[in-house]
Amino acid sequence: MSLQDYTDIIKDGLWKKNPGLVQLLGLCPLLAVSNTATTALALGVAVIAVLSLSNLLISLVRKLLIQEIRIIIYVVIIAALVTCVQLLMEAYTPLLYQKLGLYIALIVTNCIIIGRAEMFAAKNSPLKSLLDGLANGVGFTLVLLLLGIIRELIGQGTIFMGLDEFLGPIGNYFTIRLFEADKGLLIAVLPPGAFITLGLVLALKNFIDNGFEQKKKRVKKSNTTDISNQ
Amino acid sequence: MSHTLYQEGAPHDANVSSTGKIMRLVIYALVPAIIAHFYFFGWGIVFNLLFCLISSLVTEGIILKLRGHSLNRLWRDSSAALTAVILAIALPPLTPWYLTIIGCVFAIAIVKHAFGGLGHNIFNPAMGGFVFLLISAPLPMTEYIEAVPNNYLNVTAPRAISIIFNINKEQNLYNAYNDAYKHVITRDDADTFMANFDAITGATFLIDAKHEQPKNNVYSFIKVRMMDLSNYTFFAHLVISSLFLLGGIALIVFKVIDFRIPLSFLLTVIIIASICYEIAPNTYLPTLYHLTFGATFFGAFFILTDPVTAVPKPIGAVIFGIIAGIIFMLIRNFGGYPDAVAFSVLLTNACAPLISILTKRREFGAKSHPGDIYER
Repeated sequence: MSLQDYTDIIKDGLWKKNPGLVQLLGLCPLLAVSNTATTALALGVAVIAVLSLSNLLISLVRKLLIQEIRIIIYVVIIAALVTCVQLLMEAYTPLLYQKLGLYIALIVTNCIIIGRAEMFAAKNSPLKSLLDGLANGVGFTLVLLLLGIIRELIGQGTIFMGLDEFLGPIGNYFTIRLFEADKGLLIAVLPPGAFITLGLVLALKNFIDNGFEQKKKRVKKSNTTDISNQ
Repeated sequence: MSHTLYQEGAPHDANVSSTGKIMRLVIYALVPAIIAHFYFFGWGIVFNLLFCLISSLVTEGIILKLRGHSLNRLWRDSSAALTAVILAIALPPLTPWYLTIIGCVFAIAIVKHAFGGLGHNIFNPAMGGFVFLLISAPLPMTEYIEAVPNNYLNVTAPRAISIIFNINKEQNLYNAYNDAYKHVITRDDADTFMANFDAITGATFLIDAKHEQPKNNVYSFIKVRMMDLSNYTFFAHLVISSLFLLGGIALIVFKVIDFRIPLSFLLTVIIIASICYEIAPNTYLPTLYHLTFGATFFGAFFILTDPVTAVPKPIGAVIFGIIAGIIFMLIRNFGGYPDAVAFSVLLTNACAPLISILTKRREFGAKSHPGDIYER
């Protein structure tokens, strides 16, 4: 239980094993809800809440679980949490709840949550599991938000349109309009735009990773040549 | 391809072999249709070609450099130029400049190079770019120019440029319309022109017919628009389609494209269109109009036959054409879009690898057990 473990968990969730970009889990909400930045942010927050709490609870009860029916127990725990989130959203942000519609309820079947429960929470301590849930949730939300911003900007020329439905009047300060909606490329808001954008973001991630690797190799090479020169 | 001397294997087929040569021959075969387009629809096509060629070649050049290839390929395979020319013909003549450029960049960078470059792309780049624009900006992508004789005198170069760059657009469109009326007034069909068009740009005949379809009013709509040889719009489209047909036949004679794909495609279209028209003439257009209007011949000879995305094998080519024809007629008669070349080409391209595998021929001497044939 060193500090290294915790930073590794955070690094894995945010970048190395990012659920949205590397594990490619939860593609359904990732593609369906990322047409505006606001819905992306709202769903992301819901996922963070459900994922971290479900990881914590499952990790707490992991020693009491019956192996054969563990998946069912995961689903019951996750469904209970999702229902809480859903009711909270319906009460406090009704407009946004209508926009997100089915996708809040679909968090139950989201592969990320069961995936993290099975891969991580069932084997690790509650504190680690909570951290893993948070890191994965935030990693997923960042990808969702990035897709949402790109798609909304290209499709409608705005960023965070209607954020006041989620954050209250403060949200209006974050809304940016860059050009008129009729000049936007409609395809970005439609389903094909989601696939194209996700593909390009994936390519960008791999490009950055390759850059890092080559840099590392170059550093190693220069180090070895230095040694050989000496 | 390579210039060193060597003896090839047994079937010595004296054929057009280099990719660049094939692509350039296809471009040459399109020239008559482009000239007719210029005559009937004015200077728009010239600027479309210019913008498409520049943006496609620049994009291709940048990506070739990024991928570590030499820029020689720009000329050696000429595929970017062909994509640009096909897209320029497919786009409405006065498309806003930024849409033209976005379409070309998407076609070259995403549809072609993201899948691995020439020879590896699943979808036809030009049609990919076209569909991207059609979905992105439905309004400007359905505003075509009305056919008028000597239209290059009405839609002049300065007017076309100002409309494309959206400077004084309304005024220039109005001037072009006025000139068109003056030119057309000497002809008998001046009344039809005034009755049918209230501007130089507008929806095509196919789009208008699509709007009549839910009312089961297509037959009387055709009568009102007088769509026969006496009508200039019909005449113009007939000429352009015939030139595409001639260009296509020339390509078949020079063995650049295979006759099976266009033939099976057109036959399927004719059969389905005839059946539909026989059953419900008020709802569906007659076969001749399906062939004349829109890009039917253009698609059959120049787009479907793209050697990268089509199926080359004899039986496979026939199946490929038939599937394209069925999808084409389904969209035109029962779908929401007035023209269907782009969508049918893309959907059929997606089927091509499967068709290719399923129609794989047994090699001579190989076992006839199906498992051996379909392996790999």
